Amino acid sequence: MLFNSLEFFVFLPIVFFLYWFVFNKSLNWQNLLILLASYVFYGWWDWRFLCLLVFSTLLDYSFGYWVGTSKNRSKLFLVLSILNNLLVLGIFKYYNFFATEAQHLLHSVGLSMSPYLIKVALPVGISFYTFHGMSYVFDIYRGKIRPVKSFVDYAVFVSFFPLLVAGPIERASHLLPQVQKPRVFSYSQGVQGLRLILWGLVKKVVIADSLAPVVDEIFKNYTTYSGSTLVLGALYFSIQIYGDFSGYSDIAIGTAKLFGFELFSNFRFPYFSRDIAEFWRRWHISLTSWFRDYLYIPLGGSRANKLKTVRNVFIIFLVSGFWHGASWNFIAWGAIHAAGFLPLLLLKKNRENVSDVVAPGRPFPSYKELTGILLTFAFVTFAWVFFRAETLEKAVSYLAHIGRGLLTPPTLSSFLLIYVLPFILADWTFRDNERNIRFPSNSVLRYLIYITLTFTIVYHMGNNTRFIYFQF
Amino acid sequence: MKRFLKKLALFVTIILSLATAGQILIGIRIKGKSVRGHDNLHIVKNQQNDIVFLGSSRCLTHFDPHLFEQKSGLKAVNIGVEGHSELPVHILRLEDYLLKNKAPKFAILNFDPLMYAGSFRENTNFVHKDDFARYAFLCPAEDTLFINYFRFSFADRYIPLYALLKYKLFFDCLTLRNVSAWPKYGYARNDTHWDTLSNPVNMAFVENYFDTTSASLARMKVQLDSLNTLCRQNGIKLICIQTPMYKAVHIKPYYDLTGQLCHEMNIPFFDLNSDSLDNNVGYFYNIDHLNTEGVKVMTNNLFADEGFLRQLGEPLLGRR
Repeated sequence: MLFNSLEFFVFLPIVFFLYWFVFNKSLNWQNLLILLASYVFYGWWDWRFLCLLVFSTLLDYSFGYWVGTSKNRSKLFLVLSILNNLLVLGIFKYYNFFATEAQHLLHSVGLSMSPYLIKVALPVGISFYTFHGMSYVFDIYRGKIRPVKSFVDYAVFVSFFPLLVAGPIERASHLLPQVQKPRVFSYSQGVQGLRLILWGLVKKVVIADSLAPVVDEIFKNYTTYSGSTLVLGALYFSIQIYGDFSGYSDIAIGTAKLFGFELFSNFRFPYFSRDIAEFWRRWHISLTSWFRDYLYIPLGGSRANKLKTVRNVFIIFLVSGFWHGASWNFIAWGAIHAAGFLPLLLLKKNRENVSDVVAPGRPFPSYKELTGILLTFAFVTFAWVFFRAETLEKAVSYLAHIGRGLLTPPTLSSFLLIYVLPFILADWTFRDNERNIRFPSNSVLRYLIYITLTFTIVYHMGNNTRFIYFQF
Repeated sequence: MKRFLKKLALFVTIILSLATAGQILIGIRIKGKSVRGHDNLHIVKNQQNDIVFLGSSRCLTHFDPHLFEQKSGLKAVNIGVEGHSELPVHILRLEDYLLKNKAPKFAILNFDPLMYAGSFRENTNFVHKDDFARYAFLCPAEDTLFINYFRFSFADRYIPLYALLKYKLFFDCLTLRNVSAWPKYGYARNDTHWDTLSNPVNMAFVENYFDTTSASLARMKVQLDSLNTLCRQNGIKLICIQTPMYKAVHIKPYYDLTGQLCHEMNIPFFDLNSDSLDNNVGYFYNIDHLNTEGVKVMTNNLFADEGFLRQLGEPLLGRR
């Protein structure tokens, strides 16, 4: 079920009503309801993949129990749990990539093989729920949490429908206590939730989906467009992917709030970052911090010698790229970001911009801030070309074509800037707190904005597309 | 919770009230008018025509009902559906017509190699669905054929203003700025000449021609037979006409096959492709559509054909 579908807007009030008015007497029943609702939400795409979700949930629940209760063999169970999750990911997401790469490699040395390729669609959200499972077992192993007794509680943590298919990637230590504790409805939390849902839909349906067809056209036929159009295409994709994914996260966080849950922030106005290090503290925060906690730090982080630090940085960025997709262009995307991040780390400048808010209390950024923001955005946009292109070769070719006719006016849809510019302006206005979108205090004006945004969303609903991050 | 639900209910009420008011006002604005030309289901109503023209954009562009009327004295209406070469849509269009009008004497189908069998149940061609969105909300029974065919959703049908906004028809309804030539001329008249430099001949066009496998042709025959049966049941004579196509994409075997199909089914068939028309770029506004001049020449050629006049009736032949 898509957040931007009408089915969801029938599903959500029904679950909300049952949750607060029918099952409100018992925490266990509320959790069971959430679990069933989550399975309905997930099974709406393809009920067969539910089996995989339930299987993965059962295994990690069991491994968590064994890691937590076994004194001597907890490490073994941890390794088995990781292997199990990587196996699930490996089969569905990476097997075909490795098989075809092996085929190419053998072909280059004169050998031939025709590997069996899996012809099954990638189960939606597989990269997200396997990471949930791994974080749970890891946290038990590290003694941060104890294994949960109730399977339903654990299954709710893994499958909670707002975050099931595209995150934010939660930690057991953060979400499980909320699952196990009675939730109380709070008016302000509910209002914040609805506002986040509304703003998330604007980002997705109005901004991202309006840009999507133009981006698709430019990237598909990039050889026929001028350099300036290609620059515009890359710029549009930067905005599209941000609108799409952060819009999803806003709706997820907003929906969770309606049920009394607080999820991790996933985006903190990343395009106002003043350097790449700051960008990674603001973009897909839940994934970045997951890799930091469960991969980078265990590898030694930046506390080891310089060579190891460089290695660790490259590993985390390459893995992050590979997490997005089994393709060389994603790996190149990760490598580019690693190359942008490393100099800052080695020069110890990676924590120069750590303030939560850019230009706090000021309407405009300083000259230095603006320069940093623009340079970072340009770098990120450059890297997005590798992310969006279908192959590494096409990404390089796209960039090579930019030089051609760079000074001629763009031939396609510069009118879409009317979507982009107000969006950036609104984001700048909201930048104090990504979890509490501020609307005017005047209620008439506020309602006018709500109504206008609602009709604008419906007007753009015809472009209905899937969320980009569903493929990961 | 009470406060939250109260405010939420207020918001939903405001939205629904505004949407309902908007839907009513738009309904008044477009009453009896066509917004884009294709939405003529409610305009072609309570009429007594002798001829109806059926077919895709090539029908809509090539048959000038006023010219036909001048030449034959028979009242005609063009109810072609642009973008739809599948036969079921034209069967539906005739059914819709018959629900609202007296049966005509003749149904003229523009039948050419672009046609294909299609499917009533599994329609995959949603071209110009947006133009029909005006009928979606609380659709009157008489328009449901098309609303079902285009698979408008529950929300399209029951949430006020939703379909008009979703299919981006709202502002066109408000301004009536995108009306085609149909309401004015009764067909999609086009006075321009083909700019072959900016829009050159593209042989890929031929890929749109029907599948000539026996199974595919059999499916097409079934649909054509359905149309013919519907016509017969209503006392209508079905005539198929193949209108001109620019010579470069006039691939003879395909164009002969159409005539052969009609012949096998005893449906009168007239092929209006001729060297004088097909070879003259001045008669087209693009590769498969005639401009106004081309339409005149084509209509003259048709009325010069005794066989055709005989189909329309002996008195007409005598008048000539």
